[in-house]
Amino acid sequence: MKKGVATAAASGVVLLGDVTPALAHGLGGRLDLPVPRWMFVFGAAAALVISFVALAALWRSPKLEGRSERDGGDGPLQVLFTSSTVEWAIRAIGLAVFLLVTVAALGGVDEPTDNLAPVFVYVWLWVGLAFACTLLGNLWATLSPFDTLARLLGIGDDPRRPYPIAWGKWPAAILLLGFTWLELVAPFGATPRALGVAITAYTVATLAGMAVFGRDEWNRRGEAFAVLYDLLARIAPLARDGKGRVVRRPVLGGLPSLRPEPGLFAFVAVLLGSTTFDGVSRTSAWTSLVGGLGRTEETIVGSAGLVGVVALVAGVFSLSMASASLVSGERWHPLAVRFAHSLVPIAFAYMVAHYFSLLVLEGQLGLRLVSDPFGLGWNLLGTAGRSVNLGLLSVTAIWYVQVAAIVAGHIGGVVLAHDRAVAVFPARIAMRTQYALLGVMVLFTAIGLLILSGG
Amino acid sequence: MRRRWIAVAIGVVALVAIFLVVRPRDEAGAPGMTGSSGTPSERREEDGGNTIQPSQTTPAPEALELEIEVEDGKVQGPDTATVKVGDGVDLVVEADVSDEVHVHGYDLTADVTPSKPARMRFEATTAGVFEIELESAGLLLVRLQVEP
Repeated sequence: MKKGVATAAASGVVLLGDVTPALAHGLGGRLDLPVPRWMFVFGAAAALVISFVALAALWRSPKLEGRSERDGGDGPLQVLFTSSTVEWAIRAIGLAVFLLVTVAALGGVDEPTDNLAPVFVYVWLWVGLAFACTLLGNLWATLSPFDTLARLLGIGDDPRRPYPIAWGKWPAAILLLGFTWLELVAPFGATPRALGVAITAYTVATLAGMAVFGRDEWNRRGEAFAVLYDLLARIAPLARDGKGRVVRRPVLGGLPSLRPEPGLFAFVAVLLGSTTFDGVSRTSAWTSLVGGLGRTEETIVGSAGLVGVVALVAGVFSLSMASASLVSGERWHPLAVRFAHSLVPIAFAYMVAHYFSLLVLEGQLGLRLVSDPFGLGWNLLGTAGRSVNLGLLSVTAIWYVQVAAIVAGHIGGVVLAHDRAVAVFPARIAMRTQYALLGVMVLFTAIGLLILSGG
Repeated sequence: MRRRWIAVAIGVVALVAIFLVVRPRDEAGAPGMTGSSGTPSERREEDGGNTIQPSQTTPAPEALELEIEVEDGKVQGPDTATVKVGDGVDLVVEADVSDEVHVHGYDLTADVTPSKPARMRFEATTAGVFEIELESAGLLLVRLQVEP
């Protein structure tokens, strides 16, 4: 029956009039189909059941907390990763690509899909590298052009001032919010020129931060991408120890050792909230809200929406912490910071659910643009003629990945929160501190699924 | 120890049971398109010119007529239009400005001017949700939802 339709349509439908195939306008042009209602129901039910099983059956003493890593052995991987020649080769590649993308953004054709910069930054880097770090560990530590530049220029070797402890990760949280604003709200966010200006400004700010407070200090607390990829890499089963050797650990094993500090909770809230806002802004309710507005008004409403959703995520999580503090007697804010790490798998799950198809489908645009990074009609690698194959992922495959990711993220969050609770609270109250937090996680999971199913 | 395994077992059983209950029964509830598929529907040749029709979206199985009007920066027409993969889409956009209509994903464009509506007809070959925009104005006209 399907074949019949296809044949009939193929023979009957022709392109008429002034219709001409245009260049792919990938960034945000194709959206995922809403997840079917039954998958939404099943995903939400699974989250509930898993949470109850967790309460009834999980371990009573911490399994992940304080666990030591195992050395990765002396295999070829170890040799590769501990070689300083290899490290500097990778740094050179990172810096070269950074310069190429910056020059393309500032000097190439000012069209989002004819210039390498937008796809590279928003798809390959923001989404692709995030996925890679979650599997393989913190690649940005070596790839970061900011770190390499600073090392080459001798910036940040002897800091001028000590970093104010009270700032914590706040600078990174604010800079990440700025990046997501550029990506999701700013009407000019996808234009190469605006991106080029943003990259330049961010580079100057990062080098300045490193010069004043020290390179490593700024990487840990101020450089938004360094903080982001470090956070996500803590999910990975691979890491490097203080001496640079490759070590192995359980999946999620790096998150418990995350140091609770000011701004950590804010950073995680921005990560989770911005992805949620991206989903919300694609619902038809949002479209009809901003439909009649002019560009400036739409930007204002969008900005308020982004900040609002981030605040809402933070608020709901804080409420569950307030409830836990009633049980344990501690104040809610230190608790929120101490449990913030349990939101990282959920934030990553949201990223997978929202951007997985973007990476696989729109990411193909990058393969074409590396041959013609400035939009000048070049064909350096012979890939300039490639078109985006939207058939690479079936709709059902996308749905299953989305629902599976959200449920897996929920499990990760529950496991981490439980492990921390049994580590820091006496066994008798550890369970009771978690009721509200479990409720909030079920809520986040249900909302995540609801947004995927079209609101 | 045994209590834990019982809890895990109950959880697994519950998940399987929920899956069996909520999973869709094959084809039972789905509105079938079988039968009408063999005959290519006749497509009316319209001279887009000055004929202004009220906005209508007939959910004909094989060709969706989609008419959008843009006046003063406001869009008149449905928010979302839904078709099945393999269906035809017959899109007419009238606007009081000169611009380019762009069907994202399918990457089709057509010029529109106040005197000449944009007219495009194509087959919805790929599933997904695709934005149709007035390109320079950055104005979302309609979302084309192509279901598998």
